[in-house]
Amino acid sequence: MKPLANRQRRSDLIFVFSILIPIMALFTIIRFIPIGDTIVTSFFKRDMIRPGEKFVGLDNYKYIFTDKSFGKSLLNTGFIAAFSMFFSVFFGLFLAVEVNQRQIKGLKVAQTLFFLPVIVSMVPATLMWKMLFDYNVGVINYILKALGAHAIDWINNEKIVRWPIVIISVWKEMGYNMMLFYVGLKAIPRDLYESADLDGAGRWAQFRYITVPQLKPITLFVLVVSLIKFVKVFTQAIVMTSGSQSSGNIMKTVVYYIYQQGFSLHSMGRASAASVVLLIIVFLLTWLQMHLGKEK
Amino acid sequence: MKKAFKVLLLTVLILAIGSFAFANGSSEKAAPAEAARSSEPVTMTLWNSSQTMVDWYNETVIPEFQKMYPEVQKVDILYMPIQDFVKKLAVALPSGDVPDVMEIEDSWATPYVTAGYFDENTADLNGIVNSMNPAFKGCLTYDGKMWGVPVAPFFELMFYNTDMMKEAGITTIPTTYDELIEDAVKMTKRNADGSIAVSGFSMRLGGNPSGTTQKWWVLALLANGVDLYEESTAQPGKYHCGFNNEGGYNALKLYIDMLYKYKVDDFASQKDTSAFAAGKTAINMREPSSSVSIQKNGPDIKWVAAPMPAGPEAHATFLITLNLYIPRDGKNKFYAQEFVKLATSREMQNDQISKRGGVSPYTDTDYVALGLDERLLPAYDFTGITMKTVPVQNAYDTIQVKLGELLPDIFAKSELLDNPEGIKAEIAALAKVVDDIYKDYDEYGE
Repeated sequence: MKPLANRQRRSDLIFVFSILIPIMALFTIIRFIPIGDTIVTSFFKRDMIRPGEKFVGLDNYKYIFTDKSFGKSLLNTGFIAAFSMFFSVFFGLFLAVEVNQRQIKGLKVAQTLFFLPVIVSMVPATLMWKMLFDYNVGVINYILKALGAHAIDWINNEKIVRWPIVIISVWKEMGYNMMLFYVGLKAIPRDLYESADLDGAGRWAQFRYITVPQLKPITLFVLVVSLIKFVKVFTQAIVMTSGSQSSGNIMKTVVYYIYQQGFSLHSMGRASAASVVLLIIVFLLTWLQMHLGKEK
Repeated sequence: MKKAFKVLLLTVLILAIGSFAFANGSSEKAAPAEAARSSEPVTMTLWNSSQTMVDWYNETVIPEFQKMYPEVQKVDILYMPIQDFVKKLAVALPSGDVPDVMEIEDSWATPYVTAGYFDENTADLNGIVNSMNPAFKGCLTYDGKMWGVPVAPFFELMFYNTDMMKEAGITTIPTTYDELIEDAVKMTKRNADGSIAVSGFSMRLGGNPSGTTQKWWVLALLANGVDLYEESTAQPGKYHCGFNNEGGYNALKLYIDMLYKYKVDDFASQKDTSAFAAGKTAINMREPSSSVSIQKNGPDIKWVAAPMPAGPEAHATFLITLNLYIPRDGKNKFYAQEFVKLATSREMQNDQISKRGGVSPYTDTDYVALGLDERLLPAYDFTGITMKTVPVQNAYDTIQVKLGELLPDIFAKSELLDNPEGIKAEIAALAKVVDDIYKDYDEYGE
């Protein structure tokens, strides 16, 4: 019996590897090799316009860690990622629960509307929000002034400009999170809620003791995916703040820093070093989230 | 007979060698011959990053060019916003995937010029540059040769809101920085809570880093008799920071005093042309073309332009230019050169000024005859003003970017007011950044 089982197992493994090889080969070419090359490049002085390179050891890392601009971009990215992740997960879950529980007319239309921002390209979406946040002609300042408040320079003020980016990011992603949570909610057996009803549990108790634990795998997935997305924030920051007085420095994110070092300042070594740091940060945060998820 | 034959042979030989040499020499210097024209339909490509220039090319230059060369059926212009354009340059030029003509701002082009990605100017193109304002040669010459031809120069000037001046009892345009501060103080208006409602002078305190350096920091340095860089006397062709001195100290003090002593602006108030067009600032420094935006967004604003005020040490403005370059790997070289010649010709430049309100690269331009907005005219009196151009240094753009990132944080330090040691320390720290960048590019000299 044993040799037969072994033969079957070997056959299964061959089958699995044979169907995995093409995708693994593709993944190696478009992912692993560039990542490896980035790590190697981070130890060299290299640019795109002049041939040749020079081994500089950890100099590129020393440079970025002493560069105030990199510190600022880390802070901006951390702020945007943390708040965007929190609010997009919160609102995504809230909408999913509401859509799942309420039997109202036009539910499908509402779901579609909530999901619509996900399929809109980030550039036009940000341009639309930029108009809404415009100091002089934006609807948001118009409302503020109508309420007797001062108009706010949302885009050019360093202390404020992060919030419009968070709002755009949340608006864009919460529909996607809602759909994931909605699928998770549909998978929760109804009899759990029925039993809870019989035991006299209220809506909040049902949510806390049934919905939240049952959604844990989905929640973990949503958190990890959202975090990775928001740590890579770039387009909304650059489009929102593009213009004479605000682009770049005020809203510099880590990805913008990488882009600037590589393409504007021609230092692929430093851009690669910053990319490696970003990779490590994303990896650590993902590991931490998964670890915490497992513990609970 | 033998002698006569020898003389004849020698004469023929000399004539042959002479004509061969002449033919070779002229073919080197002359523009590509008409023979280079294609019998097939031609499609040209041009990349640029200035939206208003796209309109000018499409409406004026391209139709005229197609009249001259009907075989050019299409000139495709690929417009990209600045950030995308910079990225595109870095990827396209090394890979050889390039257009026929590229329009690039002088300081961005330098690393690509020195790396050999553009064609050196032909004799014809050099002739055009030589007929222009001599100041341009400085930003086009590298290693004794020239690359690129100015197609859209611009310079910094001051816009004044004349209604606000009248309201504040100001009757003359300030001509010095001291007068500018005095007038800006008078025109600054505050809300009940003390915050600025209308700034007296819109200061460039952040934003696009190279712009932060370029738009006023360099001008403040120039007014105080120094610049971002200084050429090494011991090693010509090498540079070090030019403002780690009294001039640099005075430039930073000027910013700090305007922000915290005279309080003519702050970080929270609306800035730049949009603020000027909205009546939120009394004085703004910008290029002539921003008059179009003021007209569009603030048609009721009454304004006049004037030259940059004189500083304690110098009276200067910054002359920046978009140049047309022909990429080394471009395909339609003949048409590219002809296009550059046409776009940079005096007639076309005059047309551009009448439409975009820029400044001509040709010195003897009659701006009145060209119908330039008369409110801009006072700023076009360049008498006694030094026109500073961007140097051809690989490190220069990086220096502008890095300083532009660091300066806003320094401007935000109110503790620098009446703090000479603090200002000196900040200047020394900035100077180290500049010198390190020069070292990084192997352009540093003591």
